[in-house]
Amino acid sequence: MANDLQRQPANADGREAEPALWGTFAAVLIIGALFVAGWFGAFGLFLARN
Amino acid sequence: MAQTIDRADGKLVLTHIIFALAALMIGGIAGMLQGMVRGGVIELPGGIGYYQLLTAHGVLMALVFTTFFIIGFMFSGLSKVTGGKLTATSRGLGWVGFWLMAVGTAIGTVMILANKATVLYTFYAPLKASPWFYIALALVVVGSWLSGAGMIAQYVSWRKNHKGKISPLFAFMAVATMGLWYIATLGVAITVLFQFIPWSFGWVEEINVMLSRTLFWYFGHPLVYFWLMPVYICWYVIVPKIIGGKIFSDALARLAFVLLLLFSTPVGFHHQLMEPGITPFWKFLQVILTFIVVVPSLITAFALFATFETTGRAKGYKGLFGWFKALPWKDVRFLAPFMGMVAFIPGGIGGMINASHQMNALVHNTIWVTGHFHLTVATAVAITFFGIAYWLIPAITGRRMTEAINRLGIIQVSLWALGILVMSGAMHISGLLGAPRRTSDTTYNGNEIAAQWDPYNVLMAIGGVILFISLIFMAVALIKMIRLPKGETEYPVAESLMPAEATPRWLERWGVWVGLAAVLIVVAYAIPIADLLANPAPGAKGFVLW
Amino acid sequence: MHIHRLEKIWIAFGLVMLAVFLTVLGIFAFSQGVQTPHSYAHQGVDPEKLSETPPFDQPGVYQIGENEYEAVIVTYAFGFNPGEITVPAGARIHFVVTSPDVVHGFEIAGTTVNLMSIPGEVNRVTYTFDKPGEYLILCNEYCGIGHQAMYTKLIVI
Repeated sequence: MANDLQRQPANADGREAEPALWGTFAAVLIIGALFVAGWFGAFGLFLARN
Repeated sequence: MAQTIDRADGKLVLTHIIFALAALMIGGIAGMLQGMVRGGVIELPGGIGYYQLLTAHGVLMALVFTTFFIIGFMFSGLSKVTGGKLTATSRGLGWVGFWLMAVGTAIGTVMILANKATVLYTFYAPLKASPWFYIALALVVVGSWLSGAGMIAQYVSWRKNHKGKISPLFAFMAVATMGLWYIATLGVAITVLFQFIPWSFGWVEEINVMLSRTLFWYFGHPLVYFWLMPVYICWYVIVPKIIGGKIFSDALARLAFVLLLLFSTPVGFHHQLMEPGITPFWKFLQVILTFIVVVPSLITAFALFATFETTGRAKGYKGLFGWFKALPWKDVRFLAPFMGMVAFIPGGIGGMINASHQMNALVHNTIWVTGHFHLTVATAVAITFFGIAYWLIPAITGRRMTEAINRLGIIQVSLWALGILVMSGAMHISGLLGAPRRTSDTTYNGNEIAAQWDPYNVLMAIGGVILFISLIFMAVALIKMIRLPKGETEYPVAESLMPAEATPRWLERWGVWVGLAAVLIVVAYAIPIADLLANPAPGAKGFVLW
Repeated sequence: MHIHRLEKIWIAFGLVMLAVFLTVLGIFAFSQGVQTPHSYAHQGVDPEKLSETPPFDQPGVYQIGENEYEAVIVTYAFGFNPGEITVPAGARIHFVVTSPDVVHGFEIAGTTVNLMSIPGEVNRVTYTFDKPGEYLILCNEYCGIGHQAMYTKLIVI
């Protein structure tokens, strides 16, 4: 098990493959979308009241 | 080893943690009563005023609970990662720091209870408290400087004995945190020592209000990063071990802390956006710097998910989010910090809205702001600290954390999360509808517009009661921890996924980072503060309006 | 320092998002006139001498143009001078605010008028009241025992 957490084996060109992080990427993009939606929602409310 | 942590070190740590949790409990009683008063459920008995309770709540929660827990936690980690024992110097400084802070806390509390300091935890001039209140604050700050010196002494000692090696991550992060604290407290120390104390004693008649506010908020913003950085220590260094994984990127974690050290302070104007005396140019400059300080948190979000994902995939979980199931949901040592991470998402979004220059007018001094910081300090920070306490206390008292304590902990933190959801949710909505913060009553003599806010006040009261029940569970857990069987509880410190050589050494060049932090502060503050000093508005005499 | 490809994209996304927010705020503030409350020049007033210092020696609402007004307001513990304000719909009001005692807030609930009234300083903000109705003006910064009773009304007819 511990071995699985070592860095990935080298590719043919000697560089290591990066770990698969698509789930991480999706999760942070969802958070990013929430940030954008929240911010523009608040700004819209601000302009509407201005 | 029979003992997870050195006995003498454990005593220092435990004293801080218990003091912190005691402050939390008293502050929690105040908070619940406040909610019930505003919700129309109770009236306070004669002898204690709402604003006294509010002052006590803010001081005990935001200054005492946090500072003591942070210092205790960081001493424990330093001891653990630098060889298992603090030097005598380090521990000695830790004790002197503790006593100064404790005496300061006691004096401050007496002043608040005696109704001589009903100025709220921000103590804005020209409301004038007893000089002993300001002296109490100064003692807490000076005490914390000594505690910090103790931590840095330990770090320096380790580095001398391990020349050329990169410091343990926990130690690096603790030093960065205290470094930020020294930079931050300069502002509040200057205003308290040179403005508030002489003025409250009557040695000078008037106070420069804008200068005092500016110096306070110079401190007040990095204060929240002083709270957050130890939380990040837990999320970066401790949580991966708990979930059976490793630290995703030691280098980026250090970079995040360096960025926090650089950008947490030159941003205080975002707490003063609606004030006169500071031009929009300087406000906007500091807004830009504020947005930059979001970046280390973006790095942190990626790092945390990456840790979860790499750990889960290594255990064989597949699919885009399959690794989620690998996480130990039934382990309060993980569940609590995870709830803190979740709360930090709306907390961060709200924070960005608050700091958005002219958009701040939408939310300034409404109870939305209170909702915001109950998500950040009162959840992300507090619930992570609860999660730490459940293993830290057994670890330092030489006892075994049992499944029964774990289950109690899960109930306690779940109640906390529920209470926050109800209370902070109501605060956010009510604030957007214009309801003010820091007030005992929002009915305004039967005003129709104000009546919209009533149902939310009831929800806040309910949330506050749920939070208090959560604290009762915590008190029960603490008592049970005294009776735990003797044994060993792990102090979870994760290893790095990458070898030490992968972390660039320039990250540890403290001189460069402190120097850069100073440059940024000068850029952000020198001219506006010079203007306040060169063209001061007429000073204000003190008022005791409570 | 090795940074994962996806993390580089995430941070780039984050920086772009922050830059967009700042650009929107900057344009609205510095080119469209939607700015934070402030005084242009550093205008100090002696809080003890407001009754001798124009314009605060005569607080009130003064017409300065076609449906345009200057509202000179003194916020004090625990009320506002002038008390109730009445203006016609569409009124553009320039608020000029200070305090003779402690820091107060000046919030008109439901609008973006929300500023700090600080003794020694003058704060300004401008707002156009298109919608008729009764607006609640309240103090939203703790100022003492009567803080929760510090309010008045602005009526737009």
